[in-house]
Parts: sequence; structure tokens; C-alpha cells
Amino acid sequence: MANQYPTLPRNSTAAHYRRLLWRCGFSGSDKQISHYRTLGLNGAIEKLLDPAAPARLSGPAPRVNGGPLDPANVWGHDTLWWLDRMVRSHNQLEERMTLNLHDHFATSNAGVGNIRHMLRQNGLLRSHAVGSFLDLVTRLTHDPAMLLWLNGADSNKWAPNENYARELMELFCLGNDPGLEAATFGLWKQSKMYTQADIHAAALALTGWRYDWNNTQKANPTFYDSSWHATGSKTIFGHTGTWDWQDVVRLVIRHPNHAPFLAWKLWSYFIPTPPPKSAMQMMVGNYLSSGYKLKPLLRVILRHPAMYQALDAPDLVKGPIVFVASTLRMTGQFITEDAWAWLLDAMGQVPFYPPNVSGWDQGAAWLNTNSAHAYWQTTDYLIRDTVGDPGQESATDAVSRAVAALAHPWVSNGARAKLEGYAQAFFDAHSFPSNGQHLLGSHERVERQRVLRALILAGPDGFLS
Amino acid sequence: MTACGCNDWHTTQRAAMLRRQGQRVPIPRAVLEGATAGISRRDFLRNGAIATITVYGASMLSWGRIWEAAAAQAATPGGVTDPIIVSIFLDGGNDGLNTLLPVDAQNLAAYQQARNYIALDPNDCLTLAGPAATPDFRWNPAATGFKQLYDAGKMAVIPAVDYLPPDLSHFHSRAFWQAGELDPNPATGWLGRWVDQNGDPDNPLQALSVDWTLQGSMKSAANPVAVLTSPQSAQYDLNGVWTDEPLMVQTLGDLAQRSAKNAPMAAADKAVGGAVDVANQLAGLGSTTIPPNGLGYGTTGFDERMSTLAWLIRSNLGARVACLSFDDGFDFHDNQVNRQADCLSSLGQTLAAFQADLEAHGIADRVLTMVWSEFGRRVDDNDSGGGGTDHGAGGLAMVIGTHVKPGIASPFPGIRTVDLDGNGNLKVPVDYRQIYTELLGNWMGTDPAAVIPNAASFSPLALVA
Repeated sequence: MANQYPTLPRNSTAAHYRRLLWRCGFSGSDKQISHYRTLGLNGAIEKLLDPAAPARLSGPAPRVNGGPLDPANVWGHDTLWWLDRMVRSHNQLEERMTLNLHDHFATSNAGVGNIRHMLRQNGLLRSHAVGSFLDLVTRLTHDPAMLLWLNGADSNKWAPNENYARELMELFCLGNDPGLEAATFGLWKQSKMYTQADIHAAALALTGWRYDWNNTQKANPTFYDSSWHATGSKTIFGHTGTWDWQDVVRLVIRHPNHAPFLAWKLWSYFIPTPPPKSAMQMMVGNYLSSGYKLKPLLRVILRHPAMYQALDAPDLVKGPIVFVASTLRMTGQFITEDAWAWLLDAMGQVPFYPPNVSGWDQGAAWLNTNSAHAYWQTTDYLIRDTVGDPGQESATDAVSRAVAALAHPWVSNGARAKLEGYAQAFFDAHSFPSNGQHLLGSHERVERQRVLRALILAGPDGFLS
Repeated sequence: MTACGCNDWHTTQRAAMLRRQGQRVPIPRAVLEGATAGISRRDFLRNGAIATITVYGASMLSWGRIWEAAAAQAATPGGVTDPIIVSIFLDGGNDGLNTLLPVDAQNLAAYQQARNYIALDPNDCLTLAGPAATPDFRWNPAATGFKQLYDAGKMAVIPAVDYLPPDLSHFHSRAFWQAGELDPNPATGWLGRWVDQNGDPDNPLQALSVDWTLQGSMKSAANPVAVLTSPQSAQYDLNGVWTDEPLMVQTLGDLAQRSAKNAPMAAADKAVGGAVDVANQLAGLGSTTIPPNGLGYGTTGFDERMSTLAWLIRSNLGARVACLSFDDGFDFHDNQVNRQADCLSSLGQTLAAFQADLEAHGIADRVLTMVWSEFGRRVDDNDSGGGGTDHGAGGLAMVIGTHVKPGIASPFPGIRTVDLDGNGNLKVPVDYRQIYTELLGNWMGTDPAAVIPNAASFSPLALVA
């Protein structure tokens, strides 16, 4: 059966493209919006779903402390390296999906202890960002970072380690939350849940991969050693055979709970309200009929009316990485200092270091009084070197200038009025008479611009896209 | 080096603390300095704040109301004799067998056969002496603090506790323990429900997470609970802004005052508005001497948090339940022996110091401390990274205090192959809710049935003397 897709809205405005670009990448400037509008909404979505290989990077390559980045050796440069790609890559959806997949497969260098392996895995995620999920899981199963992270490299026929087998099922592919049954309209079934026996059998079947501890600096020190593999018969999900690691991947991906689990999870990265039944059916149908490819699943999400709901009331929360990368793009900045690495730490989201194997908490978890202050502190750094003297300007013009300097992000009407109120009150309090008119001093003119931009970025509207 | 994914989330706990939903409120200086004896309500409200707590569950309490409620409670006759539960979570699934070795002839032989890589030498292990002396078990050599408490008759040990059927997922088991029922997505925790049933509608200090995040056990539906974060600056400033910082902060607060169009927007408003309120309330920051000298505390973050808790309890602010997580995880799929020894050594030292602290201040008779982990480990070990264990059933729990019935409080199911369940795990002679019903009923003097679903089927385990 041919893939099924939702019908796009007949009329699209700039707000549609802003929504699409913000959720499929790291901000959408007024310039990008007008560019994508020339393609039409369908064309814009197809362009996002069809990344060029290799990605085109625009703008100056990162330079920090007078030199290029050294992500494998210098603290924080791993973060900066990826941030740079988010800022400069023309394949914005590919980069955003790489971040989503990093959250999903949540491998942390805290356990891997080898940033080269982390960067290798990052490349693997990127190359499959809109590609084959089956192929991605196959490769991740013997990816050096993953083998270290979830103990695959320590597992063997004499002492199988269940860590990877368990998370492959629980977190990566099948899910075990009984609530999924209702959330997926019965496509996911609690009655089909895997068991501890399945996990143990899969752990046995996965044995054979090893890690060469004498050559940890090799690009890939993993190798398959059939003498470490448990060759006997195993029963996984009721299927009995002399399964090996590839069979485990195949059995897990073909498990009836896999497609609904993955569709439901990927939807949540783009749209914070749950998918309706028709969307679930289309995502699952397209994913299965395409042979486990992400693109036909993602296309359902990007075309769905829920994506364009309430365009003047955004409800997807920007996590810290999205916030920082987006603000750099909005202010036309590139990676020239290492502050972003520790600021992201203070904000609670350091790439390559998810807090645990289930990734970062999403959405409202980023909205609390502690993070509100951390976003402000980061904003202070983000706009530090970007504000010049605007000259004399009216309160209305000051707000317009601030919005324009940030490439026209969404600002609610109510907020705009309050910003203008601030600009006027500031003028009334700090202007001085000169030749029959009132003027602001040069410091005050800059201060007012600076404050307006911080209020737009780190006020409540700035948390949402 | 290699480590289990789910074990390493503590590495970013500083980060995690910044991204939880809650409202930060200031603690008045007088409170943190312990000058609560005879303090008047006016003193509470007048003194400058020097630390902050994050309040959950209370949507819009004013600071004044919170501190008035605390002061009122402190002044209530009998209010200072109320019993208190402290819950300490060992995240990751502590290996009970290598914490408390069964050393009777049959089990010791089985232990030495099952554990090829991580077996401890019983001759190095610590005896269980004192009023509840027993020859059947010995402590891990590093667990000197446990021995001290046990030998003094201040510890009850539950050597194999879980639920049926055991689910070896970290996330499920942790959720079940925290919920007090077998629900992986609980809306409330068991201690949170106790607070809803028995607590105060205004005083968040009745329930304290002295932790980076709100532990699930304390999630309440109605009455407020709090997270204590370390003293830190929360002021709003911006580089290059000095002419009118107050107008900036005021405008930021104004932006958060509106009727939001969706839940994330409301959460963003609440986060930003709350942070501004805190900034406005905070006066000069000071420092406290925590942990105090001479009580045997170590220098870890956990020591600091436990001594902070002891201090808050003796300040008579109405604390009734408290939750903490130990600093490090226990998910030792590999390299277990040394890592577990470090944890047990540090944990035992802190627990003994905490008990000494309570006793030194004459409040030990009010406090029972429960130590738990989401599950135990597999009886057979594996040779990952020098020896580790997979997830298992039947974990070890402890209850500490002057009012415990000391000794081994429940049956040990045995570790001979014939004694185990079909998956090579300990059988489960005690359900964890039997601890809860005992503590809620016979310690707190409240009705367990109001807190634990189906409480009647979990007969209280005799722990309270």
C-alpha cells in the first residue's frame, strides 16, 4: 500500500514556516522564512527531509582561544564542535534529528570515556537522521561507544551482560510503559511485552562482540570473536533458533510493539500534544511499508495539522542546546569562545553527557525557577558583543530594532506592548532635555537595546517555539 | 572506563538540579542559622534570606504565608515530638549479597560457587554483634558505619525485599518503590500521599527533598513539599546594564503576568515570574557551617545534605518526611568490588554521623531512617571489567534509629540454586510495602490504608520498637 500522508493546509503564512523551521532545526530567521516560502510548504518540508551529503556549512569555522577546535582532547570542545554544526549546517533537520536521536539512544561519555568514540557515534546518528532505523540500530549494536556504555564489550557466552539487551528493548525499540497501549490506540500492546527471559536470551545471542583494550585510540577497536558467542538455541519473543546479534536486531525491529513505540516517541520531539489515531496509523504504516525508514514517518509529523496548530501560541519548550544554538543563529554569531560549554552545563544539558540512559527530560522539565535564571545568565553572554549604539529612537522603534536584531522571533502581542512600555518608561526616566527635545545618552541607548533583547530571548516567550 | 549507562546520571546532577519544575523561595537567615527557639513570626518575616528552597505542589503560596506556617508549627505544643521518616535511595540497584554476606555453611558455599569474580572473603568481613548479634551474616569490609549502627542496636535489616513478580527495569522498580504501588507512571509518591493526608496545606518544609531534584516518593497532589538547593545567587543582572536595572527586572516579571494560552506557556510564565520574585526577595547571601565538626561526617555532598537535613529537623520547622539520594549510583554491571566498597564506606560513615548528629541534639527518638534500593543483583556474577552483576531481585533495605527493633527483620530466602527463582534471582519473602505499612502505621501513627493501595494485603513487618 502506498504511504499515507496528511493533507497540508491550503494557505500558509510566514508563521507556518517559522513553526516548521524552529521545530526542524535551530531557529528560523526572517530571511530563511522568506526563502522557504518560495518553495511552498510541501517543497519546504521535502527540502528539510532531503539533506545534502555532505552538509553545506556556511560561515567561518570555529576558532577558540586563537586556534581551531580540538574536540578529542580539550574539555568542552566536543560541545562546541557539535554546536558549530547546529549553527552552520544547511541540513537543519538532519542536525535536529541527530540531537533527537542522541537523546533517544542517550549514550554518555561519562561511561564511555572516549570522546573519539562519541564523535563516531554522533556521525552514525547524523548519517541515519532521516534514514533507515533498522540500519541505525544494527550499527549501534556494535558501535564502540555503545558497546562500552551498555556493557556489550564485557558480555560473553560465559557471563552474558543484560544491560544492552534490556535497554534495546525497554528504551530504544519497544518500550514497556503500559500507558502506551491507550496512547497508541492499541497499536502497542501490553500483552506483547517482552519478558526477562527474552532479555536474557537476547543477551546471550548478542555475545561475540569484543573491545580491544590494547588499542583504545583506534577509530574502532571493536571486533567480533565467534569463540565468545553463545552458540546454543535461544527463544526470543517465542521464536527459537541459534540466534546471533543480527538476529536480535531483526527480531526486536520486527516486534509488533516497535513501530508504534518509535512513532509515538518521535512525534513527541516535534509536537508536544499526543498524536491522534490517524497520525499514529499513518506513521506506523509508512514506517513498516518502507522497511523501517524514518523519512516517511517524519513526513507524517511535518505535514500534520497538529504541527501548525495555534501558531500564535507556541507550546514546544526549547531545551538548553536548542536555545543556545538558536540564539547564536538569531544573532548571527559563530563559535568564537568556549563559554557555551560551561553555560550549557549550568543550564542542565551538555551534549555527549545525557543524565542517564533514558536521555534528558523534555518539555516542562526545563521550565522552573532555577532554569529561568540559567537561561537569563546564558542570554547575557549570548548578546554581550552584539549590541551597538542605535542612536536616538522612539520606544516603538527600539522594540522593532530589537526584534529585527534577533531575526524576528515570535513575540506575543501582549509581550510586545509591555516591551514598548518598558522602552517608554526608560525614556521618561532617563532622557534629558536638549534644544527643546528629549534625548537619551549613548550608554542609555545601548542599555535599553540590550535589555529589550534579553527580555525577548529570556522572557517567557523565549522558552517556546 | 566502561560503566553502565544507567549508573552515571549522577555525573550531571548539578545540572539536573537546574531543570526541575518548582518554585524557588528564599529561606530567611534566621532559619538557616538555627535561631528558631523562641523566634517570633515577625522575626521570620523580617530577616533576610540566605538560601532558597524550591517548592512543589503549592501553586501560589506567598513567602510570608509559608514562613508563618512554619513558625506556627514550631510553636505548637507537641509539634516537636512528631515522628519523622527519612528515606534514602541507593540508585541503581545495590548488590545486597555483597553488602551483607550470608555466611552460614550452606549459603556461604553457594555464594562462593556463584560468585567467581567478586566473592568477598568472609574472614575480611565484619561481624554482626551487639544486642542482635547473629553468626549468619557478615558486613562488607567497607561497611564499618553499618556495623557501628547494627552493633549499637539501632538497625533493622531486611535482607531480601522486592515485589512480585520482580521487574528488573531500573525505571519501573524505582517508580514502584516511590509510588508505593505497581504503577510505572504514578501521579503521586507514597510519602507525598502521606503529606496530602496528614500534612499542612501551607508548610512546604514538612516534606523535604534535600537533593538535586524532587524524589518521586514525595510527589504530592495537594499539600506543598520542598526541594532544598544550596545557597546561591539568584539576582537578575545584565552586563552593561546599570542605569535602570530595577525597571528591567520589573518588566521581566510583568512579561510573566498574563493569562497563558496553553500549559507550557503557563509553565514558562510561572518559572520566569517565580525566579523574579525570588530575586526580589533575596537579600545578602551568607554561609553556614554544614556539616558541623566533631560528629564524624565526611566531606562529600551527601554528608553536606544529610547534615543540612539534621539541622532542618532540629530547627523545628515542621519536617515530617525527607528524601535523599546517595551521591553515587550502585548499578555495578562491571568493576563492582572497589566501586561498591567506596560507596558503602562513604554511605556508612554518613549514616552513622547523621545518627550521632540527631542524638547529640536530642532528636534521635523522633527519626527513623530507611535506606533502600530499587532491586538487588543477580546471584551469579559476570566477569565484566573485573567482575560485576546484572539486575536481580530481592534487594537489601535497612531501617535505622533508636526506635527500631534491631536485628535481621525478615527471612533470608537462601542462595543455593534450589532456593532461587527461575531467573537465578533471590526469591522475595517480603514485599516493600510491608515496610511502608509498618512505618506509616506503627511509627507515624497514621492509617496506612489511606496511603498505600490495598494496604491490608501488606501486613506490617515488625521494625518499630
